[in-house]
Amino acid sequence: MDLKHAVGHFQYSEGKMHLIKFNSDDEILGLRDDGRISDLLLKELRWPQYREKLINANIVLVKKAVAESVNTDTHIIQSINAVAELDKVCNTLVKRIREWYGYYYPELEHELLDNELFIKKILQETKSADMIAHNRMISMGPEIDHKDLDMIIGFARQVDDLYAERERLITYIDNTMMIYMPNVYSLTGGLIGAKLLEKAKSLRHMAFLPSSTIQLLGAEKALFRHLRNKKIRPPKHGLILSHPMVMDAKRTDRGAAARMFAAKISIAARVDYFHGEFIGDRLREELEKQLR
Amino acid sequence: MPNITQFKHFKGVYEIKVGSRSVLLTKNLLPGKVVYGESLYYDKDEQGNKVEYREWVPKRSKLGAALMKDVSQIGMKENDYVLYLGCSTGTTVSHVSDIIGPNGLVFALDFAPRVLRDMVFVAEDRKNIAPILADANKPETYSYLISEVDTVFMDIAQKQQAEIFIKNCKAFLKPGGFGLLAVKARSVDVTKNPKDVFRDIRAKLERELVVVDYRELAPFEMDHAFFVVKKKL
Repeated sequence: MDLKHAVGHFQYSEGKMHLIKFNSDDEILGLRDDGRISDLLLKELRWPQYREKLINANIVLVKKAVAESVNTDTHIIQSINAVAELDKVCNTLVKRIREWYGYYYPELEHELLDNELFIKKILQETKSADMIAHNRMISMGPEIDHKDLDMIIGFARQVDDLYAERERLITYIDNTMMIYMPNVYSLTGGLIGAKLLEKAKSLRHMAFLPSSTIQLLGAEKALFRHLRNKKIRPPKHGLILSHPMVMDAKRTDRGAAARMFAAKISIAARVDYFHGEFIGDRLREELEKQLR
Repeated sequence: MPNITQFKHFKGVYEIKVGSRSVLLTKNLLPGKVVYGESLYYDKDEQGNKVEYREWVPKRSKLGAALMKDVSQIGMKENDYVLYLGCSTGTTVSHVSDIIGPNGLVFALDFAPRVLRDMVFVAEDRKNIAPILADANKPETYSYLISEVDTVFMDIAQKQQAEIFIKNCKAFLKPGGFGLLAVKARSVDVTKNPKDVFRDIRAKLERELVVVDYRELAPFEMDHAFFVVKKKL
């Protein structure tokens, strides 16, 4: 049911706007033909008898539109945000486990700096086995009751699951990006491409962005600082800095590398949005030639 | 003696003194239901029945902030039709809905499906709101979905705010009706001095409409202004 059935229907012919009134069976009830049709219709719709129809028809239209607005962009953006949140959460929880486990076996906690490896290790090996492996005779941590140790290990198991979930999400993002935005994917990879998409809110928007914007997505704080005070130097790169193409360039070449990279990414985004042929390889070649 | 009184000359808007501060209120169209975590207040009417009011938080609503800053006119009253551009999730719209009552109608327009989705729930509850997913810069895309209105309210952070507002007032506002425009200086030009931005906006508005009031919304919103215009008869 749409507003056409609720009220009437515009038709434009012979240089004039006509209002054709329908009933719910699409039967034409009457024809109106005025020069100022829009004004008259606007005033007529103000009448109380149309009030409920206007509300209900609009609610139905909006519900359909909202449902239709969910697409692949949505899932990629949500999953990349989930990865960022998992990073934060895992970091916080591992810090807690480090402190707690550290009272039991500080030597191991001190030795393993990488959070993920630390968690995996305490789930795999017992303290006594590890002490033998390291030829340690004494530890600064006491033996503790198994019910206390169970709590620490149980908590660590949850975090290990969260790390696994993070991997699952990253694989999902990679696979989705490869299919949804193959050209951008071939230039940036899954993660950075998805982060760019998240900043751009949708592939459509990203395709229409100038490459200078893509170059600086992620450096908004620095960008606006510069815009407010031109004496402050503008940023050279945003998210794309973390890509080897920019990161590995000589410091003096970073700006040029970022600019050229962003230019190719924006072309790739356009090809992806308009479903063009795959040109990712060609773009990569041109880019590598330029960077010599 | 009732603690809740009408707020100045605005029918449909109320206030209650809590200690030294004044709390803005509207009568709850749906007693018992809260929209955005606002507080509820109660009073008795002449027959002794309990009447429920919702707090109108000026930090969450630019229209509420304008009222707290002594704006002279807000145009809307009971039974009015209002075009609300930039309705978002419906915090301010809920107060407009309270004011216009069950026979009024707010056309609540926004461009973003995600926030409009929340607005739909508010609309389904209150039954005097018609949500619309459209770009306010293109009135021709929704002119067949709405009627002429008594008041236009716009709170959209865009560079072309003034132009969009004027376009919509010309198309949909009844002659003699009031238009309300909330302006965020940073959205128009992040580098300019807000006062300059407001001066330019005022000049644009004066070309097509009569500016009847102008308020700056600090301390409730920084670098924001509120214009009230009237469409010629």
